[in-house]
Amino acid sequence: MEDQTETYEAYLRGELPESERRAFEQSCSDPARRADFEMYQAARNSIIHRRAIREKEHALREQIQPLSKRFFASAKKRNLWQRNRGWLRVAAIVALVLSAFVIIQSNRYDDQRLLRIAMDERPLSATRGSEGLFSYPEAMIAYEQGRWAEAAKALEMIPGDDSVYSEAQLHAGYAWLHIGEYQRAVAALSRALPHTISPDQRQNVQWHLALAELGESKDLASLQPVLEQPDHSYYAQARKLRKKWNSIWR
Amino acid sequence: MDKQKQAVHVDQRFIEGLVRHDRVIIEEIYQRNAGRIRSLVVRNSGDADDAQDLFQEVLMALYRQGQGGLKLRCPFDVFFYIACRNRWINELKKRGRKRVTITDPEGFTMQSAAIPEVESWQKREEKEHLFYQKFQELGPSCRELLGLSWTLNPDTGKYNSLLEVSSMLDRSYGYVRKKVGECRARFMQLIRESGAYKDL
Repeated sequence: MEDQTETYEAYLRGELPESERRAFEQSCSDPARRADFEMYQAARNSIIHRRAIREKEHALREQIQPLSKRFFASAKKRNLWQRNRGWLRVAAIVALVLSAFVIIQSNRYDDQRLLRIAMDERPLSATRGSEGLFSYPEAMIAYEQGRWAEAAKALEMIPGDDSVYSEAQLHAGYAWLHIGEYQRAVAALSRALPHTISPDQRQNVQWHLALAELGESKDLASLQPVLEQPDHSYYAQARKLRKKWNSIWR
Repeated sequence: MDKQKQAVHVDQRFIEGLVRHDRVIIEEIYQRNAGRIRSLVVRNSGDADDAQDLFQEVLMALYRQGQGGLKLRCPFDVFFYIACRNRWINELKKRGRKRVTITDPEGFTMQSAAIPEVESWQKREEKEHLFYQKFQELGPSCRELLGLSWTLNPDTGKYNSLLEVSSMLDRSYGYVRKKVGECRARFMQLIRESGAYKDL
């Protein structure tokens, strides 16, 4: 539509000559023309009105500021929580789930890991001489390097009359325990048991024997010899192991 | 006395007080409505800051309409609440909420008879807001020229003539006339092109 704002303005100011005014009014019988004129009139009047009250409006805004602060201030103190309430809830749930996951994971042991944790590889205080056919020091190097099977096999071949026999059998038992060869560990530790030289050493061998039997049989009754003796050095560990073995998280 | 005048509600005193900047009336408006509006906003995905802004904007819109002669035909609190509620729904939609379901504060009864009155007021308010927005989109020189040409001269009681505007701005009459014509046309073009105007 052709721009007629000059005519509209002149009409609204009453500045159109009579003939032009009549012609304009007649042209407004066209609905499109009328709508366009009415829009101009409404927009113009709106701006005039807004400009006229501009300063008063500004003054009112200034006046209501303290009231706004007073009536909404108490709520604003809770703002941080309110604004982040959703996120904080999500964060709390995530933290809870993660904690549960960590707890579950820290309690999740397979049998072998559980038994390895319970091990206490204390050497026997025997003389480390070796008169046998196989070198005890070399076997122990393999043991210390974690070459379990190699070490265990070499240690088992130390003859019964060698002064390091019991220590060799004990370490062979440890080594078989490390790699989950429970039956062989039971055999090695059973050989070491009669040769222990102190109550502490005996309890150490008993404990590892119990672990090896538990690994083999999966029956907690294997721990019974230790659990029956509250003054046994490994009594507390046996109770702890029993608890973890029965844990619902496993 | 015509029917419309008879129907003006006794709470018109709030509009009149607002227009007069009456401190006591304005404080009463806050006392009666702030808690409810805060509760409306906070219960519906907003916070206290949003509530404060909403309250202030509706109050200012009522002030502008009051200056233009708004007549209240329902209780002020109901009118104010529905106006805030509708504006908040629009705000939530603007913030990308596809579905907006409003939970009203407890102990407040919506008076559905008041809804059409508020909606027609709101439509007028939205239209005026659009005009103002489009006026602001004009350049500063256009705003100044149109503003001056639409200002009443206190001596004559008429709007400034283009000759008067040209002398105020120390510009030639020809330049002012051409420029004012262009600015008016641009203003109208911006309104016509706005999608919002077609909806109103």
